[in-house]
Amino acid sequence: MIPLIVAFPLAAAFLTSILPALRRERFSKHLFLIGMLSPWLILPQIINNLPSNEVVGNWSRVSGIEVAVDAYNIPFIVAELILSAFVALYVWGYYPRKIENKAYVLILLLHSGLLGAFISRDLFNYYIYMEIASVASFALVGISKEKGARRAAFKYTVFSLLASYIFILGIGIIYLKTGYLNLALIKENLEMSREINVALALSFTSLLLKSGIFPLYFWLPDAHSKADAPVSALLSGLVVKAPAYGMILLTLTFPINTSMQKPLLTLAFLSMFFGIAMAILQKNSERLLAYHTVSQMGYVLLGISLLNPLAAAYYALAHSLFKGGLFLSVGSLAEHYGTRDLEKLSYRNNKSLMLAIVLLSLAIGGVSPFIGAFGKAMLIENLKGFLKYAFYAGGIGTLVSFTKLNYYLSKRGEKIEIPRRKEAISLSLAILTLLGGIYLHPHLSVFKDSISLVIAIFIFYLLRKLGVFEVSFKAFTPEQFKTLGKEINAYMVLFTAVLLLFLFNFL
Amino acid sequence: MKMSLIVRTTTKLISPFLVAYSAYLMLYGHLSPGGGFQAGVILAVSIILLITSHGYNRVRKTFKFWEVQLIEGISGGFLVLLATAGVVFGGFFYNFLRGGELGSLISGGIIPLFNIGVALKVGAAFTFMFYILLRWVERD
Amino acid sequence: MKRVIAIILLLTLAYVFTSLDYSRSEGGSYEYYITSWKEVGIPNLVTAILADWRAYDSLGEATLLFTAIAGFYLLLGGKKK
Repeated sequence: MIPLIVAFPLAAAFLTSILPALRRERFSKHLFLIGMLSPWLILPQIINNLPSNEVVGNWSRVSGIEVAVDAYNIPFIVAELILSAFVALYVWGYYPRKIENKAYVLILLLHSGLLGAFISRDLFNYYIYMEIASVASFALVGISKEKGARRAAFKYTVFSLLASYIFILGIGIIYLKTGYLNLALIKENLEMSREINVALALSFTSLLLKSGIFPLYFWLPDAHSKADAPVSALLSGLVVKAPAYGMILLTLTFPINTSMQKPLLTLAFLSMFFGIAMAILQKNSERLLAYHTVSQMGYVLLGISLLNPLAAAYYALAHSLFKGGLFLSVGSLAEHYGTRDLEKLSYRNNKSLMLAIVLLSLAIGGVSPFIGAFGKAMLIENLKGFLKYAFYAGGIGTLVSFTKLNYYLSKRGEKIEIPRRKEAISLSLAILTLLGGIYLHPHLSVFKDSISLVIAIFIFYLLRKLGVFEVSFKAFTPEQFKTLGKEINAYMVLFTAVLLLFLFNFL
Repeated sequence: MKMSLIVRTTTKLISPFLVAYSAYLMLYGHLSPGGGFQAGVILAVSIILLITSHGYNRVRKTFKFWEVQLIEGISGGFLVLLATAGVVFGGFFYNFLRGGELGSLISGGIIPLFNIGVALKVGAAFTFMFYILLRWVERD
Repeated sequence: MKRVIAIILLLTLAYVFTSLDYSRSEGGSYEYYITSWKEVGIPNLVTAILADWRAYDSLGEATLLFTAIAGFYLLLGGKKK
């Protein structure tokens, strides 16, 4: 029953792809929407018998492929279904007729690939379905009209595939040494050895690259900021969550000791602060959001490294909703202004987008009844001492950056028309973050939130007075490299260095 | 982009045999060495050979672009349908047609059907890729 | 300088990977496939694994190929002659 959640969008993708051959291209929109929404039909059944698992083809666990839905992956699946439904409505009629059909096919494939990865309990199966999602996203980044989109897509392809190869090497070693690919069986028959440690180091490094954690984030800001708004929402909201789910699977299966935990924890905090620092300096609206993805994935990794996968999963759900919403709403603004420059954008004349962006900014900052606060409350339980304050500082940093976004957007700008549908989608995602937060964690901490907001606004004005926002970082843009080849080489060396660091740490 | 008469005649001669071989691999893939992916690649090779010797403009008149696209999509849809049909009988990808003596053609149940689907899919996919590339190259 | 760094990194990686023991562990799915061959009822073990025990993966692989080609078509195939 569970794999049907993958089969429906997959069938829709194949059927959509034959429509041009049958000269029925005009129906591709409808088939696309049906495919994107069809997994909702199965969701009630899955939620009703919640921890459920199934081996595809009714085989035994040893020989078949196990899929399961339980507390750890239901947040991912729900996030996927909600965000992809909104994106499907947004994309309806978005692409020009010439490429419409092909783009729909790819988005459907992305959708089914992600769902397949999220329900999987088998390492190889997880890898295959995650690859479907990544391969679909390479092309979707490449069709953007933005300057440098193809370059970004190429960079994304190269590094994502590199990570995939390293990951499959890790899977191979695990299979060689344990004899199983099924995670439950691996856990039963596990004998830790040098080889397993190496495999874990390989898998973690490659999944860190795929989820865009500092210092392996380099492909992410380009790919996520150059893509079209709905594709950015999918990439930032969902595609980077698939590797995070992989890391959750690994931490649930293998005993992670402190020497493995420490580098992950360090990277989580580094990623959080690095993302925020870079986001504050950005002048491009989409790039600002893309750097926030680096920072927010740090929070997800924090949950994973603290061996609290549930917190990571719920934070991922929260991040999908608000980051998807932000990309869609800021993206609609940017599209109708014809620029992504923060200084030229404005939401003054558009009350519903204004409301949406303010609500989503509060949600990403972790202000209380919103869903972000729930994720943060779950994460902070395991933190002690200094790290707790660092965590609060991260929240305030995010608020500073979003104060900046709202400050620029609230300036007076020229009047533009934005379709009602796009406004409604942004607004409903924003309201969903509020309702989801109230449903999951009905809790209001007025004092703490107002203190952090005041501090954030104060820091924002301080930084503005200091002229931080005027600084232009030529050196931090990819143009500092003369050719793409040199850039890729430099990052390849960085990746190898991180890989070696992990190898020696895990051994 | 036409090659010499000898090459054209030879490829014309070989291609049908390759198709027959591919059909054997997909139908008997569960009994003897073979299987969907291999059969698909050989199927694609038989057309790619024709493309290299006769040129894209000649081959596309026989094997049309939209036909290849149609086969690719339909065989993919068929695979999903085959898997989904199992749900009626007990589970996703449940082999509901199993039967017959060990070693007979029907003993595989849905395996030969699955192999045929995969073979057509892979074959059409590679041919399609060649078509896209050639269309792009010959554009200007 | 760049070359030196690259060579050092590669040598360290090679050291790590050559120091591992690549012998196969006993038991596991492999043994199961060999011993319960009869379960599927076909003589070709490779096909039995690919198209029956792990057919869901094969569907994924075929879809991966389809995805790659759909992406390819999207990026290169837009223009007609």
